This record gives sequence, structure tokens and C-alpha cells, in this order.
Amino acid sequence: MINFFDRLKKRIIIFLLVLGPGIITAVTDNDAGGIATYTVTASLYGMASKFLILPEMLLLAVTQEIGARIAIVTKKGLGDLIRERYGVKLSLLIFLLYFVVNQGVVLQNVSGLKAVFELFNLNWRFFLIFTCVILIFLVTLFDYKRLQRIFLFIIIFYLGYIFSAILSKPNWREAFIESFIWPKKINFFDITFWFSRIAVLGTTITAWGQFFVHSYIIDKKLDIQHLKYERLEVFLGAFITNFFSWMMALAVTYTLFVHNIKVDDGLKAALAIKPFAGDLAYIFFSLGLFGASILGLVIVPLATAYVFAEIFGYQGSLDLSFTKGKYFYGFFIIQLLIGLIAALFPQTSLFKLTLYVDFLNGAMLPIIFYFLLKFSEDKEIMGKYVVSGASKIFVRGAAILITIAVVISFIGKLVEIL
Amino acid sequence: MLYFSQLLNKKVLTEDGVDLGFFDDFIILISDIQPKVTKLVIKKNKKTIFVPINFLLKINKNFVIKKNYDLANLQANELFVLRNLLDKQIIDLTGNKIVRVNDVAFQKQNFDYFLVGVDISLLGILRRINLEDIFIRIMRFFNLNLKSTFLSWGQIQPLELTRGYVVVKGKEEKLAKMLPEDLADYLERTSIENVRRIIKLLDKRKAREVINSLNLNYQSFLIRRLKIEEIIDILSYLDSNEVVDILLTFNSKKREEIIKNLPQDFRKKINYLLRYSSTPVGEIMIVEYLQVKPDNTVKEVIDKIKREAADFSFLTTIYVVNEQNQLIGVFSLHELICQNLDTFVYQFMHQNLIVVHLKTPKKVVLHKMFKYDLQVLPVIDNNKKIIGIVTIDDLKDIILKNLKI
Repeated sequence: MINFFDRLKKRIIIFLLVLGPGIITAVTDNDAGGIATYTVTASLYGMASKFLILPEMLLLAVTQEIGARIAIVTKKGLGDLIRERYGVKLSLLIFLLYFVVNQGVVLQNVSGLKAVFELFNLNWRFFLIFTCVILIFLVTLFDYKRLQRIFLFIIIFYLGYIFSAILSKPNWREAFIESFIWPKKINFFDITFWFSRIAVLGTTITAWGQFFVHSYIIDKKLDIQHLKYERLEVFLGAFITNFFSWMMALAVTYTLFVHNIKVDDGLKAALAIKPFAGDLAYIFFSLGLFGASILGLVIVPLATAYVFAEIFGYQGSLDLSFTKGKYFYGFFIIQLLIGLIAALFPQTSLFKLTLYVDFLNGAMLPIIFYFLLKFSEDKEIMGKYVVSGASKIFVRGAAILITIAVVISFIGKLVEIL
Repeated sequence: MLYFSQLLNKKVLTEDGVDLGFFDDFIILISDIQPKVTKLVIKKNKKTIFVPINFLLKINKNFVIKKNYDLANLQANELFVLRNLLDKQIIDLTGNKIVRVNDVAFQKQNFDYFLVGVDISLLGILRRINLEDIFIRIMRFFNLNLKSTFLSWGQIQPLELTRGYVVVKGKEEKLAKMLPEDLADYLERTSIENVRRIIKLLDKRKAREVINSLNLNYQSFLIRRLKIEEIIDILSYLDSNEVVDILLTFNSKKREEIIKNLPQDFRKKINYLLRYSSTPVGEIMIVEYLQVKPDNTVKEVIDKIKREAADFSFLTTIYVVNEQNQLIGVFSLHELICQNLDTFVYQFMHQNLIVVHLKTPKKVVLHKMFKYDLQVLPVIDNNKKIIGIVTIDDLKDIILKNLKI
């Protein structure tokens, strides 16, 4: 019996050791852009907007897990592998596309942050610049360990959504039935509902997320014996993420949806919630958005910087000093600053921009899954950890499913524009 | 110089025009010195064949190989360029990532192709996507003359390559940071074009050190192939005795022509040395020494060193001469530094002198050096005037030749 507890203790310690990449990546998938999408869809369709959330969680977990597995086995980033296997031309093209997509995501998060400052009636220009400067200093000066602690701490802000969900006095039974069993409150054959459903999937599974989980695990220097625990952590991350997004939908559904109020600015939805759920819910909702924006604002430029370093063969690690990692940190800073400057000009149309970003993100996902499949099934790369048999079919299925979803949402958006 | 990226996917034809497919890869034989290309890989309809390089006739728009070519298999110690080298991460000994292999350069020497180095510059990447020329032209418009930077083969550990890593020897990151002696070592195994290119890339001081470290055969080999202006340029980097050695390998007509074109100061020095070059000591003597007066102070001597001896390749001993320029004393740098700044030279110089003459046999010079534990001896004429010095460095060849291990 004592033996059992000892082993359990040891396992928990190892798990805490690997804790980070999976949770941080997955939770950051709920960044400002994600929250905006969840809020708008929840105000339109209520808890039905979370219908099929369980398979969606599985998809996220599977795709992140495959990245984690390749990262731990090969100790090479996705960028490394693409450059080494497919040469300069393709990797350069992918990097350009990736940079633009991530820049868009950064911009979404800057606007998220701006919305928070406006919600709290602060001088948003000053605080936006102030926050970006602080972030740059933190990332360049702190090492991996301390930064990860900060990232994990920021996740606490997401708890705000749980509180505001409870304060909205939801009908739990109905919410469960709508999201997990069968949505009764909407027209099941309404095609726009399905489009919005896929849009939600698109904000959860992202191009940068696939690259980031990969690079971040390598930066953590995990070994092959951590593989088991890392997979568990990735699954936990997928669960937490979807749990939070479910709570978000809950908070919106039982304030806006039941009162038939439709919002088109997801970031300002907190204002609309206020009359129904009270000041406290309003504050919690805003705090959640604050955490999400900050996390997105740090993680996404880092994801760009990692891939740049990988493709061009420079040192890319949070443990580097600024002089040693000048390219790595340089790209982080450039992307952050472009986002900041663009947000300081009020005339930029964020709505249109978000649309284009989602387009590109969608276009990149199938390409990334192609690479993930190729690498994970290559015996030369993966050795005895090569993906085969049932899990191969499962992963392929997931990739195909996401690709189909992306193509459909592509067409949907095209129809919307025309 | 041939770049791998420019060869890739060229058509391969036989001399009578039969299409064999596309050039897919080179196979190189791994070695410490320049790896030789042994085979080329040709791809046609997803099938690959290996053809030994000796069937290759020429590379122009296409690869042309002999019509009665054979096939070969991969052997031990052979590597693919595309699969094992191109795009791979270059790391230093401590595992830090430096950059990736952006392109690989080859050199044709007689009938063989050698790998000379890997391109690690931005130009390498641009070349791969066919934008190099445009970029260079644009940059030239802004008065920037861009050149590729290379990692020489000598800097890469061949053993690690077979394990999939491109590991750089040492922690140094750039070519220019390489020790001149190492680079010279490397250059001796490489081609003449490479040497000229690399020497042009280096700053003058470094270039001089590199050329100085090359052996004589190689120096004259190098210089024989250059234009007269280039020879002058390179000779002006060298120590005067090295220049004399090199000049002596030319015939008298060519020698005269070169000397005529040297700068005035330098010409004087060379003519002076050439005059003595037929004697055993004169052959190895150099004229880079410092002489001071007995009533100079230590401070004055130090100032003189800074002023006149800054670019000496060797300075350990300083000579003291009287009004008639006769050698009367000697002291070492060590002894100089230990004195107070206002002490006079005659107060601490040694007056019992160990000297050699022009006609002293080299062996005797060496014996004297060993016996009195000196690294440098003054060469004097019959009037006790100093005409040059001999350093242990210049006797290296004799020492090595007589070394029995």
C-alpha cells in the first residue's frame, strides 16, 4: 500500500514536471479571437453552439498529441523538419503565410486587450503601450521556467468565466442536453448554424497552436520517458480549454440568448451581460478576456519566433539572453509591435481582418496536418514510435475531418462575402 | 565554383543525347580533407541510379556523361549531399544552433569535383529560390556589395555528419574568426580560386597572417597563378624574408619584373635581403628588428616599439647599438618591462653577445640557440654592424627534418 502511494507520488511529481506545453497551448486557443467567436455564436444559438463539443475536444487533443509526440521523439520542431525534408522554397513560403496569419491573430489579441481597457474605462492607448512594453521585458529577461509560471498564472483569469457563468444562473439540465445530447432550441437544418459551428472549430484548432506545442515542448527539453505524461498533459489541456469555452457559452446563453439579444462585437459582450447578471459577472467576464488577450499576445508572437529560428537554424529558446537569441526575440518584438501600432490607428477594420486571418488559418491547417501525418508515419523520423495501426487511422480521420470542416467554412465565408 | 542549388534538377544526357533523367544528388566520400565527389545520383520516373563521377564529361546546361557508363552502389563512408548535408542544422561543439546549410559549393580540379564548403549566408537562401541575382543587383544600387559567407570543410567534423549532425569544430561561429594557421592548413588542401576568394574576403592583416602560414611551395604556387598587380598586393602582406624565398623560386626575369613594381621602401628591403640570399644565414635572415641607443630610457624604448614594431611578426629581443651602429648590447622584452620608465638602457643591457655571421652554417646557428637558450640571434658583418636577425621560427624546417621520434 505504501509502495502504491510512493509510486503515485512519483508519478504526480513527473506530471507536474511536464505540465505546461499542452495546457498553455490549448488554453491560448481560447484567445481574444476565440472568445469573440464563442460569444457571438452563443448569443445566436445558445448552448447549441457547443453541440458536438466532446468530439471537438477529442480532435484538439489528438492533433496536439501528435505534435507533442513528434517533438519529444525527434527533438526537432515542425519548422526544423519541414526545412530539412522539403527544402528552402516550401519552408519559406510556409513561414511567410504563417507570419501573416499570426500577425492577424496578434492583432485580434491587441484589440481584445484594448476592449478590456475600454470596458474598465481606462486610457486604452497608454495601457496598451504599457502592457506591450512590460511583455517585451518579461519575455526577453525571464527564462523558460519563470515565464511558464507566469503563463500558468494567467490561466487563473479564465476562472472569471466560471464565476460569471454561475452568476448568470444557468439552467444546467437544459445546457447539458443542448450541448451534449441534442440541440432542441434551434433549427437543426439551418445551414448557417453549421457554418458557425465550424467557425468555432477553426478558432480552437489553429495553425500556430500546432507549431507552438511542438517548439515549446522542445524548449522544455523533455525526454522520451516523459512522453506518457506529456500526452496526458495534452489531453488535460484540451479538456480545460473546452471546459472554459463551455462556461463562456453558458454565461452568454443565460444572459443574452434567453433574452434574445444578439451581439456582433464579441469583445464588448460583457457590457450586454451587465444588466442581466450584474456588475460582478461583468467584471469576471472582462477579466477572463484580459487573461485571454495577454496570453494570446505573448504566445502567438513566440510561436512565430520559434518557427523562424527553426527554419533558418538560429538558436530559439526562452532561456537565451537577448544577445544570443537576437533573431528569436527580434521576431517576437516585431510581431508584437506591428500589432500594437496597427491597433493604435482606430481606422483599421478588425472585423474584415479577422475574416481574412481565419481564411488563411484555415488554408494552412490542411497543409500542417499533411506534414504532421507525413512525419509521424515516417519510420526514419519516428523510429519505434512511428504512428501505425488504429491510432494511424484515428489521426488520419481527425485530419480529414478538420480539412473538410475548413473547406466547408471556406465556402461558407465566401458565400457570406459575395 | 559550382553551387549545388544550381546543379539540382539539371537534365542528364549521354554524349550521344540519350536522356537519362534528372540530376538528383552528389555522393561524396567523407574525409578530413576536401571530400571528393564519387558518384552522381540520377533520377528518372522515381527510380534512382548511381553513376561514378569519372563518366561525367561536363556540366553546362545539362550534365553530359559518357555513353558506355557503368552503375555503382553506395559504399561505406559515402554520404549524400542533398540528404545528409543540405538544409541541415549547423551546431557548435556545445550544441548551440548557429545556422543552417543554405547551399553547398563544389570546385572542379582537373577531372575531379571537390566539396569546398557550405554557404551559410542569406545569399545561399536567395540562390535556392532564384532571387540571388536580383537581390545582389538591388543591393548594389544601394552601394552594398554582398558576398556569400562560407564555412570551410576544414571546420566541419566529418564523423558527426554520418550521424546526421553538421558539427562545427570549436565554438567559433564565423569563418573570419578562424585561426589563420588553420585556415592556411585548409587552404593548402583547396583550390587556387578558393584561396584568392578567401584572401580577398579577409582583412589585410588577417590575409597576411594566412599567407605567411602557408608553406613555400604553396605560396609560390599561389603567386605564380596570379596577375602581377595581385602578386604585388599579396607580397606586400608578407614578411620580407618570405618574399625573398618566394622571389627566389621565380626565374630572374620575372623576379626583376616583380621587384620593379614593389613599393620603394619594400623594394629596398628586398634587394638588401636578396643580396645576402646566397649565404646560409642570409637565406633565412629577416630584417624586422629594433635597435636602440644605450642612453635611451625605458619609456623611449617602449614608445619606439609602439611606433615602429607594431606590425612585426616577431619581437622578443631589442638590440643596442653605438654611434657607429655597432652592436654593443642586448636585452629582452621581459627585462625591459621589469625596469622603471626612466632607467637608461645601458644600465640593464647584456654586453656579452651571442652573434652569428652570414656564412655561419645553419646547424651552428641552431646549436647556439639551444646552447644559450635563445630564440633569436643577431647577424652581424665584419664591422660588428647588425644586418638582420635569425629566429628559431625560420629554422623550423631543419629542426623538423632532423627530428627523430
